[in-house]
Amino acid sequence: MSSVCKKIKLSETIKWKPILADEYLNTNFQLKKFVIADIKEPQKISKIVHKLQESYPNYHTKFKRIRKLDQDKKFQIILCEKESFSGLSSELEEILCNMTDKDLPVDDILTRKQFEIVSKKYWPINFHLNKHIESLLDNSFMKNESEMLKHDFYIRLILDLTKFKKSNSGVLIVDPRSDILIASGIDQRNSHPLSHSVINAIDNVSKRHIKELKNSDEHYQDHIEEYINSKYKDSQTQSLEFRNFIKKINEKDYLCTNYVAYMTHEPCSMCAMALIHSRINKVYFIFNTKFGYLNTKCKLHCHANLNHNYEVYQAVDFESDSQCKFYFLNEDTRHPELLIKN
Amino acid sequence: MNLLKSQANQIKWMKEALNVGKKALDVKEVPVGCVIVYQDKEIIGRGHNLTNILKNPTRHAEFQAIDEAFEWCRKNEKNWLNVFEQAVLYVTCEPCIMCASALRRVNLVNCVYGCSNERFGGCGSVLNISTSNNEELNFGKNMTITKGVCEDLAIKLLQSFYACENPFAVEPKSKENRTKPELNPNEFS
Repeated sequence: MSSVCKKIKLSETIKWKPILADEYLNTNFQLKKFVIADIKEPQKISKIVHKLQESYPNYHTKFKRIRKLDQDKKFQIILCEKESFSGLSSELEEILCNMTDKDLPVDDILTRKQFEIVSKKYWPINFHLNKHIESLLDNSFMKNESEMLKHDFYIRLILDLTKFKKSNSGVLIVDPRSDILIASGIDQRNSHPLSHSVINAIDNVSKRHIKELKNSDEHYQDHIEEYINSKYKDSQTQSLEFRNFIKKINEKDYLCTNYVAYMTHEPCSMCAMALIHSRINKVYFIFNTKFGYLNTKCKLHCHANLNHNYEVYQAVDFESDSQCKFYFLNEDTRHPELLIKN
Repeated sequence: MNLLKSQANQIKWMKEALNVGKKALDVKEVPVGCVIVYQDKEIIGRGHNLTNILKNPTRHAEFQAIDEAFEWCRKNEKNWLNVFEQAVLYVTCEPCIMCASALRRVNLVNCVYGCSNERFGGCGSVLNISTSNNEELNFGKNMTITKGVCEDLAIKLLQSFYACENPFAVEPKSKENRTKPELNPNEFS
């Protein structure tokens, strides 16, 4: 595939933005009242903590129990949540003073930005940095040149195929570990109302699994196979992409585990859920849709109550040849549900 | 025409769905069964899960039954839009988010189910696709949902499957290799 990819420079590749769950972006924290106090004698801190543990054994938070205020060099301690506060023993009352209420955020702290806000504005906190999430937030995940070229190649391949088949939308499923094209699917909702591109692509993945792993005689040829055949007719230019397609798929693969889906449009609720059922790993898409379930109406891929989540990326400021853009955004020929300009 | 007026009929059709679901047990599939009943008189589509056999996670009972009903419409030269409008889907377990969306897209808006599905349910358990305001999904109509018909039988059927382990389930991912760097908060204050 490298031969095809090298025609594009890194600066010209499509830029992606991750679609993250709202809790990663939230900085408007929900607050809860806690009781705090000043410590008169810092040398007795360990004794205080020990005593408090006895009176309020159920107190657990992400906050550090004690903070040091730099300007007046005094120590403050969180006693417990306001609602479960029931006074102090006389022993503790002697060592503590200036008891007050303080509002502290109850949300989980997931990102460096949230951590900075909370520790500056509210109270020092225990925090584990998730490197992967940080790279998504600061866009450093896009620095790997070969990765970016790969995404470009696949997304352009599926745009071309969709146009070639005169369909509304298309999906390409790829095994990124060995760059094998697994299957494709294009929208055929005019012949069957449920024949959306994602459903068709998943159907084709399973057909390929059955054909290869069970050595069945079932005839199955994918659109992408046909398309590459017609595009690279003479054998010399029948480059790696095609050979990659006919490579054997991994016997251990369960449904779409580890696979990546490149799609022209944001999937609807049925398709977004079908991707969850098929255990897809990542999804890249370009155009928003009217009832899209990965960003527009709902972020189904990171719904907390579902048993599988996947990562979703959307193209930013998608620049392609004007012909391609015209095709996908043409109001006269495209399905109205799939027509939203980004 | 009220398609859901007779409770005795509801139970009768649900028992049919349960029997379809039972057949799934023989082929080691999750025993969810459904039937599509036309004008409260005739079954025009049946289906149980075929996800393991076809290695296809979208082949839920509802999808099988819808395809069978489409075939029935084609044979009888009827318009599926009108047929599904006068049909009721009886399914033993709450349709998942995918199936609930599919039902609205084919205008199959009358649905009766047995037990709820806390993991995937699209009729209220996880999300509510059945009445969410997505006009395109069913030509503007919300679904009419009746739940809890033969609930105990539906649960019993599922339990008989989950008592033995699913031979097709994936191995859980190992978390051994994950490392979590710890940050020093003083760096940021």
